[in-house]
Amino acid sequence: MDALLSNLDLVLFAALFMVGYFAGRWNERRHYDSIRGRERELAGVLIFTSRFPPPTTTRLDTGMVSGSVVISEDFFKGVLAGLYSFFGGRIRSYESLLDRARREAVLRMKADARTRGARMVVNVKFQTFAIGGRGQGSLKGVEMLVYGTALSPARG
Amino acid sequence: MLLSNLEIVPGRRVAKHLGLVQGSTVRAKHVGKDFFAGLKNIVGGELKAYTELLQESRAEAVERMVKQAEATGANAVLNIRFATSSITQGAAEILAYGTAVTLE
Amino acid sequence: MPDYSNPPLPEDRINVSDRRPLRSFLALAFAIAILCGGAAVAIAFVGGEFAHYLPYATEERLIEPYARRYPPREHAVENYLQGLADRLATRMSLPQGMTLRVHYVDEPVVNAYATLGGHIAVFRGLLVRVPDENVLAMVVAHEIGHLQHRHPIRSLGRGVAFGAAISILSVGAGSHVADRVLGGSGMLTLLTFSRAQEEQADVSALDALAAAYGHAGGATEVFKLLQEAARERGRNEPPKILSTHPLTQERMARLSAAVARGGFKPDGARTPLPAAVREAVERDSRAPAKPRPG
Repeated sequence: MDALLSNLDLVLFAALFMVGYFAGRWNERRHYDSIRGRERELAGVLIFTSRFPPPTTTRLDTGMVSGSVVISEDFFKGVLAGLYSFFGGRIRSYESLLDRARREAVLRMKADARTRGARMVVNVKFQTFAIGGRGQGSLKGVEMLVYGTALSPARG
Repeated sequence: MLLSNLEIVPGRRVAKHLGLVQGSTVRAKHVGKDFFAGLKNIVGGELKAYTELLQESRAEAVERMVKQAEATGANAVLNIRFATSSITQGAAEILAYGTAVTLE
Repeated sequence: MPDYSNPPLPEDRINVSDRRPLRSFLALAFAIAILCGGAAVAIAFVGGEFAHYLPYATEERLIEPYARRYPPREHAVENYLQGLADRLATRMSLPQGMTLRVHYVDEPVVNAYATLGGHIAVFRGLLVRVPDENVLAMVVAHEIGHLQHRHPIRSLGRGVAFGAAISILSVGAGSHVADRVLGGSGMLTLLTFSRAQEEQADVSALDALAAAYGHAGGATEVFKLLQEAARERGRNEPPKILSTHPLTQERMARLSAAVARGGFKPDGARTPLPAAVREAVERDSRAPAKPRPG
């Protein structure tokens, strides 16, 4: 019991680590399932980074659409990122974090486009922003912003 | 695989536009180099270690984007753009994205 | 419209590469532990090995602020101890320029220690329990043995090198690690000696004891004394690996073997402690607890 109390910070660390691992994995799996489902649903909205709309004779309505999301890391990911950065090279634990954020933001932008009746978004641009203390590797979360111009057939 | 940040490729026609492809990496320098970069903050000058880091990251991001483009069956990527951000102290994320196309 | 489409991409293995994060974690943690552990051990070893190249004058300067608080004094017990130490030291080769100073510490602790600058401290608790001068001489000679081989500065060097290594690593790995390890080691205040160093001091002490008294009587009794005292206080011996004092039984056995090897007489006439010293020690132990100086 004494050993436990004297090493309380270690015990806390281990507890957070395990919670981070299990809860984090579960959250991530759920999120990815949701992402995949919505990607299938919104596959009808096409996105391109081309700057000009396709040449067409029908009149088009344009409007800016955007989607953004902030995803946070879990404790396990943070610790693992620290270990990776000790050796340098790719920090593989953050890759899934960024991937989720990107796909989620794109889906939100597509959903925004769909509400306008658009079938295509052009000039898509991404913006990443890392939130959180710039202390020794303490990342709180990653914000991803995706925006573009939605083209919908003109009304009237 | 032709890479360009132009809208068009002069003299060639685009047969199919295949949509957005992206490549991203998060990289860091190892502790030793990080430590020396910290020391460089005192005297100033180019942080060679970080320049290298970002160059490697960009190259890798572009490579991953090209791999995605190949998976769609494209032979060129146009309108390429980069987005950089610093994730944690000493680590940088680079995102490269563009439109995969098939040129005639 | 001309052909615009978004062909579905295969499940992303291009931008997300780490499919087995737990396995990566274990591999990385293990690698770091090996690297840091290995580096720390190497640095500590180097620190210990080279510390004794420091000239003795530096050692004296390091301990000077502490030594100034305990100047030599006219005290029956301290004078006696100093005389005993000086007698034993003539049979041991002390480093150039080292002057031996013995302090008598009026506390009920059953212990004695040697530190930088040629200082030795003997506690009242030990003096109360020694049956005769031979056993006391073994203790004093053992501490002189540490000084003879410059163990205090080596131990300090090891501790400082280790601390420096940790601070350097902490820049990369996080100050959390540094605090944890530094807190656990406790450098300057408590100079602990490694098992090898203790055994080296034992052997030197044995030689001096036999030379001074003509026999090796009293050499192994010290440990029985310490063991008894520890048992009375209810503390058990720590497990073998973690201890810097070799297990008492083992140490006694080794000393007995050394006695046989050296061809010393195992025992002989024992010299009692001078009556004045005994009385002074008894008087001090009966007195109420005094506040500490400075």
